[in-house]
Amino acid sequence: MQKTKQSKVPQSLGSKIFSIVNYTILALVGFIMFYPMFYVFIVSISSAQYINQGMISFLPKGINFEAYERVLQNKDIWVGYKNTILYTVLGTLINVVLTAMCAYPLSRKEFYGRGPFTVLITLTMFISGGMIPLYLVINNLKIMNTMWAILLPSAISTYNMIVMRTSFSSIPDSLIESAYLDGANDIQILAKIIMPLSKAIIATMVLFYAVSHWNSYFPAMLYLNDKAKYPVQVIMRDIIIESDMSQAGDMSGMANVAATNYKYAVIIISIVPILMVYPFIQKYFTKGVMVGAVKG
Amino acid sequence: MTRKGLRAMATVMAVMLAAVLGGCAGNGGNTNSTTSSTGTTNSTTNAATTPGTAQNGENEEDKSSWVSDKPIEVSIMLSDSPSQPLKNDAPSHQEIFKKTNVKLNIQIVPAGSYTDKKNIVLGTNNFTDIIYIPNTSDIVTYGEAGIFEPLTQYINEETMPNFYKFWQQYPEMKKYLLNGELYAFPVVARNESANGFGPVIRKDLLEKHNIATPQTFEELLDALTKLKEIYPDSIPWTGRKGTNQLLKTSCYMLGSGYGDNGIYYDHDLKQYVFGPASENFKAVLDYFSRAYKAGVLDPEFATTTSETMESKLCSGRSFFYLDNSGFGQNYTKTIQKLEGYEDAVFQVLPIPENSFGQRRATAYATELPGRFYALNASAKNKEEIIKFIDWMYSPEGSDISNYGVEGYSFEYDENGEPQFIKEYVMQFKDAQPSDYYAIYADLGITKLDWCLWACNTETWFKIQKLDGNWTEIADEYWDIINSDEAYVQPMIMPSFTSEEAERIQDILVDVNTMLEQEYNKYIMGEVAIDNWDNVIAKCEQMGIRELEQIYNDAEARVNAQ
Amino acid sequence: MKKKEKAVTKYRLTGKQRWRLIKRCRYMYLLMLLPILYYIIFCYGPMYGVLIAFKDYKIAKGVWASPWVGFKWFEKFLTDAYFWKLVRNTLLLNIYGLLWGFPIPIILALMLNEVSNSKFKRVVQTVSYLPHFISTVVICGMLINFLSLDGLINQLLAALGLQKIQFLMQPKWFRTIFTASGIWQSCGWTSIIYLAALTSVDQQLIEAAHIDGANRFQRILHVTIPAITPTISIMLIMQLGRLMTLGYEKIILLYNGSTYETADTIATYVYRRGILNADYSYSTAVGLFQTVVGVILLVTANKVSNKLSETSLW
Repeated sequence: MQKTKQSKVPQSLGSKIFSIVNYTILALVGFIMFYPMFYVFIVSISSAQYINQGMISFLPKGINFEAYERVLQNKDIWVGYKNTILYTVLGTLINVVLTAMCAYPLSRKEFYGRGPFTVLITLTMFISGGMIPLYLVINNLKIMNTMWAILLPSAISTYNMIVMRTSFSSIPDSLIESAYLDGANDIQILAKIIMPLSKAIIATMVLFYAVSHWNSYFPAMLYLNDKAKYPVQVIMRDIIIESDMSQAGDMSGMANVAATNYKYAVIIISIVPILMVYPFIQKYFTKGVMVGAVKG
Repeated sequence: MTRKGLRAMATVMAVMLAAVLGGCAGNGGNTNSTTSSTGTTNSTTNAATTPGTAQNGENEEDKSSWVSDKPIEVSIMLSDSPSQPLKNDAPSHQEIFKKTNVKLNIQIVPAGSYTDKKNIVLGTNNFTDIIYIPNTSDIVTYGEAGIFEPLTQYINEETMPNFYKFWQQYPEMKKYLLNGELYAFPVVARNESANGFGPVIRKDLLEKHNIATPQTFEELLDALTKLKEIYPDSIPWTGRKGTNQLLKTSCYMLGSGYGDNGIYYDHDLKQYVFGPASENFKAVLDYFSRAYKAGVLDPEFATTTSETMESKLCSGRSFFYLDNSGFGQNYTKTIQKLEGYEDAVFQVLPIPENSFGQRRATAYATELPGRFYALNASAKNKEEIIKFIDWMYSPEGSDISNYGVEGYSFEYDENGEPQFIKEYVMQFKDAQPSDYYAIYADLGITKLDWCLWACNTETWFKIQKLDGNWTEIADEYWDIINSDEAYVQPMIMPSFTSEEAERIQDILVDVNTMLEQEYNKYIMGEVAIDNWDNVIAKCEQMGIRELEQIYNDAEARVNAQ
Repeated sequence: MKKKEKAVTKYRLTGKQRWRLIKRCRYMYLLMLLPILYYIIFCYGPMYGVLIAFKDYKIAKGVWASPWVGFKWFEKFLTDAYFWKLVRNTLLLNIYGLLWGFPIPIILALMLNEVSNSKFKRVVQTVSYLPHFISTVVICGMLINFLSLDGLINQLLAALGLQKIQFLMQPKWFRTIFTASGIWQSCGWTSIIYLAALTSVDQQLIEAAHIDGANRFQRILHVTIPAITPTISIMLIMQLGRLMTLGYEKIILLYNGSTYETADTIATYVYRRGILNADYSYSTAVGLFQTVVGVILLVTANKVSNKLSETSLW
């Protein structure tokens, strides 16, 4: 679809040079970006001797999957996975729906009270009462040690809401005006006109929210008391940071700090599922999804 | 769509909620079998107490140590280390229930987040019946707040006979008193072997190149210099966690001291001293700077991490470190797998003599390991819990919480000493991260689990001697450590009032921020050691003598109690 | 439309008119109901917690009953010997981050937008956000590794015949390392927002410009960028509001005594002061100080943006 559009007008020499430079830079950038994850991966399948000698830079050495076997044997991680998926799916659903519900009115210029609401909401990005009062609120709501304690307090990210609002406000007013004239109310407009036109931003929101749920460990650690309810990140993080932060190394006797390849295998295992979400979302990032609707 | 979406969402939520609740109820029905370890089962609902009751008390003899006729549930918040993952209803916990009629409900908090979680549950006064407290400063912070049960009232022959014995045995425990009141029960170590920071060197290299075992720190430097000459590409001495750790681990041996943040108790001077602001500290800096200049000390000493240390030592690039000497055995195992290093051995040196003619080192706290359990002032069943805690200090309680279940994981030998059963231990011979941690985790035992008279090395040694993982190097290691008289137990810090604590904090942070910018310059030889006097003067301006005074006054006050 | 609205707000409204306006928006209020509830319960509800910045917080007493100490904690922080250095370092690290870190994701998004081979585009896009998923601890571990004396970068320098550098020991390198690694880790991820904004650029406009003889640079400059300017402005304003805040996690993993001169920030100092030791009042006061500066910057930036581009947060 894009190709046909681009090839309507023949490319000039300047344009070709532009393309070549562009591709080259992007390929280089792509490589630099890819390297750390690649490094983590090759270390995770290399054996400890080679890692210690600093001999791993572009190829794995002494390939083995013991680290992965060990990670997958950890029962806590499987329970954590199940929880993480539940929290991520449900949390993202709540997030996107509420964020859209909040962003739409704030994107409408005729919304009475738009200014004060926006100011009051923006302020929450900067001022927070701290952990203790929020903990007490959650306690008083009787949702402590349930998944709601981690889903509800993060129901809307103001930052994301403002991004969404900005995107909504770029939708031509004429579209909405005509819908009003057809007798549609705002809820219908949001559902039937705005949302279908905003696939890219919704995809972005899904991605942002899903990833933040996936990576989040702090609220879970604070508001959940059962190990059986912990998301996978709580368990992973502890393995990864053990050598840096915990006291385990300062006990009488030996320290059994996790080996580097084990830690890196943990990282790979913890992100593979969320990485698989991206291709599904990527298709919404195509150019010109709005054109037809706006003109029609 | 939104309305529909909302309705759909509500339905989804309802279903999820039901599922979650159902899940809890399902978990509640734990079996009480002692033979299998069931991963992470959890007993969260109160219903969890009932299934056990049916079994409990079938045998009248068992009831003798019951602390309550009715089964009670006691919640405990514990820190969970990845080496030894905790679980509820581990065999040892079930045995505890049988013996005491107390059902443990353990809240398992990941170690890396324990401080945050502990602060918030204490900060909102919203915590379990018993809570693990990792250091004395929390006792000051929270003890005064009135959220912990004052314990002095219970410490007597009659109420807590078992704990009272320890109270008599370890007079240092009085230092835990805050304004004359005890707010947390200290864990008491059971037959712990004490190691600590120590110099560890590649013994095989010394032998290979005919270098005598260094008796003094000067000889040590010479030996390392010689090795540097033989292996010019090597970095003989490396460390972890940068300059602070370097000072923390070696200052005391070299004749000054650093403690955790500069202040330390000098057993020779019999008082608290702020190390970096003392005359002897110059000798320390001088030693490091000579080591740096000779190419012996890692040129990147200020940016080392645990990972870089392990990688340098285990790849044969470094030969020496001065830190937890127990690490050496791990490194030996790793390096021997490397081609050409089959004979490499890291072994601890007897503490060398420093330039002041002293041999001295601080061991890890092994009599009172600095772990505490506080009792919630608003806990239910306080009386029973106190009895229960006392039972945990009894020989029976300690055997169960360190060896598991009699007949399943251990049995008593002819001397009445608990010994692990070989068949049980052998299952874990090749377990990760180590045989003994796997057993600790499986049974729910020892120091990192709910245990008040706690083993760490005793059980570890017994396990490794049974399953064949014990090595000659380990024997040699513990011989050297145990026969070395240089090691002393660390001093227990006196309790401070909150005003003192605030003042200490204010002085220490500013002084250390200043000092940390200085150390590297002197070690790298950018500034001559004589100029350190100016730094000391600066410290004095910032109130360092007042700080020392506060420490020594508090010490005197505690000792007068 | 815009003019009409401006005119409306300029009039002083009578109660009736106001009611009519509100009634017209009733469905919007309905939509806002849950979000508003959320903000009241989870954001404004707990906000009384900032009071402990003016109190000597005592756990057993709770926020309300703890004794007032006025500006004690602020005084303590503002008069601290290191105060200005900390503010300077925090601001500079943020400004460098903004100067470099803000445009790069936009450029990346624009460059990706110009790619016609969709497979290539997808691969680069996917790859570019991978570093976002690696936790800070690990990223810093890798940085220390790469920057060490025999690390990748110094090997490169040596191959080029240059002197090896102890990057992490020299104050002058800290800001560069911190900023560059920040961009490395997050620029792909941040560019997603711009990529999403770019999807709404009218393709017909671009083609019209093409037919009019504009080359690709000119098309980007005069059609594509103006189309995403609102997004850019909003992102910039929000960034400016955060100039005084900077997390401590990454810095404490990378700094050491030698680099305090440039690396010690408000957050790290407070961390060393023992934020972990339950120093609630002090850390809340410092947080509040950062908030006040942030809000001032935000309001200013918003005003400026409103004047220059008619885009504003409110």
